[in-house]
Amino acid sequence: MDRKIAVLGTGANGSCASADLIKDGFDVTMIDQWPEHVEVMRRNGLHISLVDEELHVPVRALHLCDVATLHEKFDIVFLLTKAYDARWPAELIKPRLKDDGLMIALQNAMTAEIVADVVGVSRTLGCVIEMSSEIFHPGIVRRNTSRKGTWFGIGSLDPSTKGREEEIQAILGHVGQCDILDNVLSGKWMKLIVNSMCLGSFALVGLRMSEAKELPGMRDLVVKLGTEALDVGQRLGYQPEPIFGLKPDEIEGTNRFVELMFDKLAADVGGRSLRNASLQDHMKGRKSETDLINGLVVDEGARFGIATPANRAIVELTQRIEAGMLKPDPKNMALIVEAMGDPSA
Amino acid sequence: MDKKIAVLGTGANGSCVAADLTNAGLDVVLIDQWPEHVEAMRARGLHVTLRQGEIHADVRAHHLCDLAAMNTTFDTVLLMTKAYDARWHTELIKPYLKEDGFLVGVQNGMTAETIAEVVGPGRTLGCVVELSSYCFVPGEIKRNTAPERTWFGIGSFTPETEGREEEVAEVLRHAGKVDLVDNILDAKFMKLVVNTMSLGPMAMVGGDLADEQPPGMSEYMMRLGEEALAVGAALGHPMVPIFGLTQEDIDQSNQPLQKFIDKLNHDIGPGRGANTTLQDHIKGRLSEVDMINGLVVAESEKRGMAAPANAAMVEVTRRIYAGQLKPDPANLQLAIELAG
Repeated sequence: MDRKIAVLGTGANGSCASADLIKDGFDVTMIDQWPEHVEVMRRNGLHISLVDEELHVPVRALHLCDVATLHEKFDIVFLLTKAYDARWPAELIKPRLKDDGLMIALQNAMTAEIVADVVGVSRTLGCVIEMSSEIFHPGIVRRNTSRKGTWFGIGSLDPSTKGREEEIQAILGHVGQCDILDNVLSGKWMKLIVNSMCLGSFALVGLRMSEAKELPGMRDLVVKLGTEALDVGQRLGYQPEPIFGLKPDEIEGTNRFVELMFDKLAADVGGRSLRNASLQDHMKGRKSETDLINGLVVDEGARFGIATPANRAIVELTQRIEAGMLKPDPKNMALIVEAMGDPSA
Repeated sequence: MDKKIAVLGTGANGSCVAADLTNAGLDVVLIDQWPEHVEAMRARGLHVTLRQGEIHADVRAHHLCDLAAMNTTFDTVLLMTKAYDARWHTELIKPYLKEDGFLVGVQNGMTAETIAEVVGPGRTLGCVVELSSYCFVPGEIKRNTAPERTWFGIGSFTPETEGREEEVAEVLRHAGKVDLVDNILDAKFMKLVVNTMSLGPMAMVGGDLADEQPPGMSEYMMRLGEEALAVGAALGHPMVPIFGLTQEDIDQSNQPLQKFIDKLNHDIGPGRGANTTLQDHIKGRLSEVDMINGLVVAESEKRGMAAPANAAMVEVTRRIYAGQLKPDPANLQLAIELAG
């Protein structure tokens, strides 16, 4: 409880995690790059709207420029920025991480090794996160996944941190269920598979999960995206790993692995289905994580000669949205199918 | 001119340069981590007070978080943050730097190679800057060094960029005099030598180069400079003329280090405010002393050389940052004692 914790990147998910830790008495410093959000939190505190609870906490919130005036060092830094914002925040906070501290990226995509590269493999753990929330107004966050439905899988990247997972489990347990994974990088790839299925595709058609998964052709697309990502992952040495709290016997021997993960996610997100992270990015005119998710599947697939037409289609159409040439729309489903079918793609 | 330029880090010096570039009609955006300053610039523009008058610039100012929504890439990025913020800012802006663009650290400290490590040696140049200014109120800058006395040294430190220095020089020329320098890393180290003598020492006593110095200060400054020069020589950085001085100016002086200080003092001019490190102390912010005097200490230690004066400078500065000391003339005696 007396450990100094920083949450770096307090958008929707970062705010949810911070609020739960603050509520339970942890010493938390929030650091964020969105000035208005920081100002509102300083003035009014942080408000989280959960499915079954309204949570309001006073917070200690800092702008990035305040880091140069900090005197303390942190025992634990949770990084909850976008995946494309991994290396620079790690460099920013590195001088303020204790020698025996841990910096853990609670992010999508394969950023664990980037953080390890910056702060050293002995000062990080890998983490898989399943949590859905949204923020459109400074200081006010809607959290979609309940604490019960929120899941973290953490694990060491290196023998030097073995045994330290429990420290983090004890903290993240205040935010959601937290399991320790033997093979956290495989776990992160499994999450990437699910992300490759749901984020870019649902954002392209501009729909919430509950609507998007009913769109004609969507289930086929999602399975194709996931299967490509699974194949590429296996070439990279990532084995199917039960994530989201699935039991090993639930995934063993199934030939419907990607569908099983997808259905579990849909069940966890539940009826209160919000706009996913990538759709929020499109609405804010901001870069999404698609290049680091579907784009990574395409790039690694190309390295091994594995065709990834579905993921390539998502990357290309997302680029058009980010360039302002296309808007999220259910009609984009036809463009996705067309792009996939193009043999030159 | 349709070159897209970003000034990343628009504190005092960054704002001076960005105002000049903006008023010269260049396509320039300002990106800064101090939100209040960005908001003030958006609301009222940038206001720079010089000794000889006032400058107003209607600038395009952005928060760091705006980058992800800019949907653009830059030909030239001038990095003007504190030296200790070089690496993370370089990582931050890297995805927005054109393949054939340049990111140049217009800052103190030996950051050129750090930047090259991140963006690749083909996309950066070395730069020495001589410009003194301060900022305590968002949007309001006091520029001490007049444009005609402001000096930039620019140069390649890898063959890949040779012949392209003018691409950056032509931009900086709107903010001061620009010389192309052959041995830019030597020049940057020479600036570091001058910084070891001027920034930390003046800041610790709360004084200024233009003041009459307390007894012992000149000797202490020379010790700092000599230690820095010695380790520079070991690193392969000989004494070279900067600030527009010539080799002849150096050769003719029997106190070359004093010559650099005098030139710096002359160029900044009278009636100045706190130097950059003293501003940091006043703001309770980390200073660059660890990357200036601290570098001299670290590199000396690696080579079995002693740098006690610089070690003392680092220690006194650490105590100021920790709140154990305030900038005060008495700190000079402490530094001299610590240096032994």
